[in-house]
Amino acid sequence: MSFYQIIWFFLVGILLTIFAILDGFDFGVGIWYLRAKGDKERRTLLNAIGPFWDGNEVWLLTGGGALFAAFPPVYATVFSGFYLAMMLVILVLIFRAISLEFRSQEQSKRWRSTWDVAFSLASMLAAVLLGVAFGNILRGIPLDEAGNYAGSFFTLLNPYALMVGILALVAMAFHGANYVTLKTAGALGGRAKKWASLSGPVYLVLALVAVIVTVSTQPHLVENYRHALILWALPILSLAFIVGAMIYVKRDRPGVAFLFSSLSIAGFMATGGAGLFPRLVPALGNLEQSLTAGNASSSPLTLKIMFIMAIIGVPIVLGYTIWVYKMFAGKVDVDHESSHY
Amino acid sequence: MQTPAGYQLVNGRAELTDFYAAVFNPSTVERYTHTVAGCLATGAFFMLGISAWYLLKGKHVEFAKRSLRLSLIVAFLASAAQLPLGHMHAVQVAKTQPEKLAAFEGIFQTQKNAPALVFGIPNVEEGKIHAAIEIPSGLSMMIAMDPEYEVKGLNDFPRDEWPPIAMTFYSFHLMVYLGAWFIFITTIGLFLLWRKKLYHNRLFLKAAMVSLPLPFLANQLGWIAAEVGRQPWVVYRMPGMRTSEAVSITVSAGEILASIIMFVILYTLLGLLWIRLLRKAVRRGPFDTDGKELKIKELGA
Repeated sequence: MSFYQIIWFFLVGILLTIFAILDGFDFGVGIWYLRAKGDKERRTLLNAIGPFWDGNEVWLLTGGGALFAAFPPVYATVFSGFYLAMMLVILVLIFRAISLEFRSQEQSKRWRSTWDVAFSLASMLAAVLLGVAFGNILRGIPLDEAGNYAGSFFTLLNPYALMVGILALVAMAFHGANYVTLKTAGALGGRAKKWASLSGPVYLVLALVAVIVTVSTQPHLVENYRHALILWALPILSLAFIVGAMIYVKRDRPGVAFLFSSLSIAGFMATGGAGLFPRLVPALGNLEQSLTAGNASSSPLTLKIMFIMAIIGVPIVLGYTIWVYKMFAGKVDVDHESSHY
Repeated sequence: MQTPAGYQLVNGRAELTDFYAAVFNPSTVERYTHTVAGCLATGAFFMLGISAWYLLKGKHVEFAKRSLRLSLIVAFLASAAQLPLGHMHAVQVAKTQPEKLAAFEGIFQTQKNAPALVFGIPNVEEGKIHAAIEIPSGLSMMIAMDPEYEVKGLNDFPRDEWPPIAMTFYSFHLMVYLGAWFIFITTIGLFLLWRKKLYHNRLFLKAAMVSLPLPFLANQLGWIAAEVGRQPWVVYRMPGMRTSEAVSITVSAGEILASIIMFVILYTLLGLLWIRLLRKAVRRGPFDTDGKELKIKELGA
C-alpha cells in the first residue's frame, strides 16, 4: 500500500466523520421535531438549523465524491450494489430538504403539519438508513470474484446492520437534543434538556451493546485491535465521551455536552475505521476478495493531485464553515432578523 | 465523456496522465462558455417575463420598469454572445466528434460545399433530408470559412456508431431556432427602449412574458443534442465504454425502471409545488426585508 492510498483511506473517513457530526445534529433536530409544541417552537427549531443544514449535508457529497475519485471500484460496488437502498436515501434526503424549505411558505395548518410529519419521518429514516449502510460496510457484503455486489436489497437488512442503524438514530437524537438545548431558550430549551437526559443513557447502553456484539460476532473487525492494543482506547474513549456528555447535560452546560456528543460520534467512526483498515468493503465470508485501500484505488497520480486539492480546499471550507457558525452563534427564536423559516 | 484527454489505458482502465489536459480537454472552454451564457439568458428571460407581466397588469410599475430594462440588456448580451460561443462549440464538435455534427446538421453524404440546413425532415432509412431549405455551402463556410471544406457525412461511419439521428437533429435545430428567437426579441426590445416605447408596447410585453420558459427548454434541448449525439458511447470512443458495455451488472432493469418512476413522480410533484409557490411569490410582488413593498424612485423616461 502506498502513502497516498493510506492517506485517502483516512481522508474519506474524516470527511464522513465530519458529515456524521454536522448533519447528525440536524437529523437529530428532525427526530425530535414533532415533540416541539406549536408552530412557534417548530419554526424555532428550523431556524436553529436553517443556516447550516444544507452545508452540513454537502460533507456527504464530499465523502461520496472522494470515494468516487480515490476508490472508484468501491464506489461502483457500493453505489450499484446498494442501488435501491441509495434511491431510498436520496428520496428521504430530498423530502427532508423540501419539507424544511416549504413548510413555512404557506399559512395553512394542513400544509404545515403535512410537511412537519414529512420532515421528522425523513430525518429519522435518513439517520437509520445511513446507519444501516455503515453497519453493512462494517459487517462486509457478499462480493463475487470481480468485486461486484452479490447480494440483494434484503441482504442489507441483517440484524447487525439494523443494530448499527438504531445506534445511529439514537446517537443523532442525543446529539440533536444537545444542539437544541444549546441553541434555544425558555420552555423549548428546557424540553430539549429532557430529550437529552432521556436519550443519553439509551445511547450509552446501545453503544456498549454494539461494541460487545461487534467483538463477539465480527472477528475481522477485531484483527487490528489484536495487533495494536492501543486501539482499544478508541471505543473506550467514545463510551467515556457519552458519559461526559450526560454529565454536562445534567450540569446545564449544553455547549460542553454538545462537544462531547460530537466527540463520541467521531470516536465511534474512528473505532469502525480502525477495525476496517485497510479494507474499505470486506467481502462477507471470503475476506481475500475484499476491496481494500491497496487494491481498489485510483492511480498514484490521481491520488496525489486529489491530495493537493484536498489540503488546499478542505481548510478553506472548514474556515468558512466555522465563520458561518460564529456568525449565527447564540440562541435563536422566530423573531430574530436572521429568522428565515 | 465527450472529448476525453490526459489519460492512458492501463489494463483496460483509463488512468490520469496529465491533469491539465483532462481539465482543459478539447471541449472544456467551448462547453463551459456556451453553458454559462445559456444560464445567464435563462435568468434574464425569467426576470424579463415577470417584469413584463407586472407592466401588463399595471402593478409595481416603477420596479418592473427597472428590472425590465436591466434584464432586457442582459438577455440581449447573453443571447447575442451565443452567436460566437455556439459557433465555436459547433466548430469544436465538427473537429472532435464529426458524426455528432453530421447528425446535428443531417449530413449523410461526405461532401464539399456542405449546406447549412435551415429546415428539414431527416429520413434515416433513405439517408435523405426531405423538405430541405438550405444555405448552399453554409456548413462548410461556418466550420472552416472555406466552401471547399469537406464535411464528413454519416455514411462514412459504421451504422452501429451513429447516434439516434432524429432526436439529435431535432433537438439541435429547435435549440438553434430558440436561440434565434431570443436574439430577435431582445433586439426588438432594445430598439423599443431606444425609441422610448418599451414600457407601453403590449405586444412586446406579451411576447416577453410568453418567452419566459423558452430558455429552460433551449437548455434542455442543447443538453439532449450533446448527450444523445454522443451515443452509442458513454465515454466517446473509449474502448469498452459503449453505453451498452458500461451498464452496471448488479442493477437490474426493473430497479432502474422503479427509480425512474420514483424520480418522475417526485419531480412532477416538486415542479407543481415550485410553480405554486413561485406564482405566489410573483403575485405578492417585490418586498424589502421589512416586508414593506419596495418603493422605487421614478425613472426619468
